[in-house]
Amino acid sequence: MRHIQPDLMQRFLADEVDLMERETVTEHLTHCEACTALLVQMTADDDSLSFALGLDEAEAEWVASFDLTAPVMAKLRPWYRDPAVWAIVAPMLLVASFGLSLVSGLLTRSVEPTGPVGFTVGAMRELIPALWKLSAYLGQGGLLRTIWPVLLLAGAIWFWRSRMKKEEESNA
Amino acid sequence: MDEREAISRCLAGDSNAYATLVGQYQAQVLALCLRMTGNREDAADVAQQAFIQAYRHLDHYDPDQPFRPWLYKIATNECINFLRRTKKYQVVPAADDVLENVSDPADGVPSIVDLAEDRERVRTAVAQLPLSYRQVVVAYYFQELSYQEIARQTGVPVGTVGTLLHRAKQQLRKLLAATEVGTG
Repeated sequence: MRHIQPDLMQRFLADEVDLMERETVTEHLTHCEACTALLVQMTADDDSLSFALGLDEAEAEWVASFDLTAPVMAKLRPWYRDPAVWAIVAPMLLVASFGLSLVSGLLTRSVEPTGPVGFTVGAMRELIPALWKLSAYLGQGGLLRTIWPVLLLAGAIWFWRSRMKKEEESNA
Repeated sequence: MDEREAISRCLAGDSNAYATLVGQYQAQVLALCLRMTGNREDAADVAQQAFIQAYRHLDHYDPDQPFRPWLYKIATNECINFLRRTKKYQVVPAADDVLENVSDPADGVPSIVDLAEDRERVRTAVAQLPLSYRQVVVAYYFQELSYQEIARQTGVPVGTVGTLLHRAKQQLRKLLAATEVGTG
């Protein structure tokens, strides 16, 4: 007599057989004691494994109490993507931008100085475009949303400065 | 916020929405990692890494498919990668000829029930199984996934899942029998 293959029996146990396979196994089990005994043993093994691998009380408690949210979110959202950080940094940048633009605007309007003062004026002229570029670069990492006011302000300053320069050139 | 909405918001760039998904699945993923790695410290690290990987690959997730199996697949792969990388497991070679050796059920192999008097011995034996076996054993007996779900999670054909399970159980019996002889 041909017995039921164990892997078919395993699928039969898991109710993962098609209709024909189910009929074949059921019919065979009615007259094969060996296969019936195997089925009983496999069922007991399955129950035993499910019990052994299940979480015990201490494990279940640990799993339920462990919080992964904070460490995962901290890794997904580094400090420079934390809105709370930018809530502090953005106003500071705004104030700094205003200050720089004010100084730069006043200096570019005045007569071109020489010496150390001339060097400062030159540096100011370079600084604002550089700040604008840096902001744009940071914005690529998802910061665009949080520092857009700074970028907008930097853009406005750049535009204003360009116009001022053109006016000065035309006046000259 | 429900699961779909959270995923949509994550895909739109709102990383805060991911906290909802982590909160919803952390216990299940932690439990899976605990059973796969065998200790809490490793399980926490691997589960954390699994959630980070899932977030990074969220754009590959098909919204028409359930989220849970997709996440489980990533978590299982993370566990396997971790175990391979750290070599924190001892594996007995897979016995491919086991089925052939058990042609007659009346031959009788020792039952897991007879040998597994305590959970720890069974768990230790499971931890010694080859990873392909351990994966399906944990998925079926611990996660209680269907063959379809296991196939999706492990990437093997549905028809192979039963065979893998049966072979894993045969191997477990041998391992448990060996420890019985060793301790007895």
